[in-house]
Amino acid sequence: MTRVSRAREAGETQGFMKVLVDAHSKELLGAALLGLNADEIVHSLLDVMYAKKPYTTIQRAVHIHPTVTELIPTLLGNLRPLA
Amino acid sequence: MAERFDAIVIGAGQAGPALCARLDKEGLMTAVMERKLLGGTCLNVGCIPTKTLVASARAIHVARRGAEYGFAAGDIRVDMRAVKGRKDAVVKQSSDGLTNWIGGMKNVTLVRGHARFTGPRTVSVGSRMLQADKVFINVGARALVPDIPGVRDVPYLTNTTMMEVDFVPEHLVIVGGSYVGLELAQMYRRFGSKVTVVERGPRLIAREDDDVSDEIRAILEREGIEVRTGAECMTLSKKGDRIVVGLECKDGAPESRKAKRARAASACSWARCR
Repeated sequence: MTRVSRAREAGETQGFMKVLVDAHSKELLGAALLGLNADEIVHSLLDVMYAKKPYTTIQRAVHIHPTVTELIPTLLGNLRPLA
Repeated sequence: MAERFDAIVIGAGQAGPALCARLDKEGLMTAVMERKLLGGTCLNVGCIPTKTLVASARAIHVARRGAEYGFAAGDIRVDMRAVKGRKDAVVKQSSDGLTNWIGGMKNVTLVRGHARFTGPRTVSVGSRMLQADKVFINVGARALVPDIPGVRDVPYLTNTTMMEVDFVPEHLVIVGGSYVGLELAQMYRRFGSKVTVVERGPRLIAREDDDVSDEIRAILEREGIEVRTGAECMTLSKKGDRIVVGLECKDGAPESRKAKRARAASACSWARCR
């Protein structure tokens, strides 16, 4: 969470966020969010899953700055293949 | 002679009242039975009280870190009776709201007491006999007390009875390092207890990925919580006014942690995830 400006400002940089998506369907398969306000932030991913939309739907969303949630689109823009 | 209803709901936990509201709206004569507390685990001993306590613990934690933010709050003293009082008030607010909600359902009757099936569609509560075509079972959950050697010889707390604690134990040993146990661990560490978490498995919160488990452990250890994983052969015994948790961990020699009892309550909690 040290990359999240709002977490640094709050002095709460412990934890991390990660997401798992299907490379073909682009569906969100899951995520782990550990850190400041993660219990609320996770819903920005949950709603996409409930809507059954690909992660690309919010990849370029402009989340409000400065928030922890604003790193979700950035996270989705930096996906790497597993191993 | 059985009293006839259209529907019977056994248990007024969090799902029961919502179901009753729906049945009420449909105009179905409904009896909802509760032997203990309206709102069940969530409202009385689960989500609501624990998150209220977490809020106190977090405020205390932030106050202690004052210097990082540019202020000094002096010596932080925790008044556990006041912390519990705040928790009780929040629970009561929800409980009163629920009582009024059910009370306002014109087709719903609240029957106090322990429900027992006496037939496929017949349920008794005390001396009353009630009958309905639709019977919904909404009976909730209990804390699991594992069959650890010595468990009957020592006083212990569960995630439910922990909600009645109004003092800061000197040392709290928590058996079970998953969601509920760790929430209590962090909370009581922030209230001022020495806290040890004992987990049978090789890591905390086994349901999560390894990296999440590791990071949670690191966060808790940074707060001064002691974590013992791989504690496969736990034993419990009393030594004076202390409870001793024996650990025979996979690697290394058997070791025990002593938990000093504060007042009458013990320092152990069994917790399962909700």
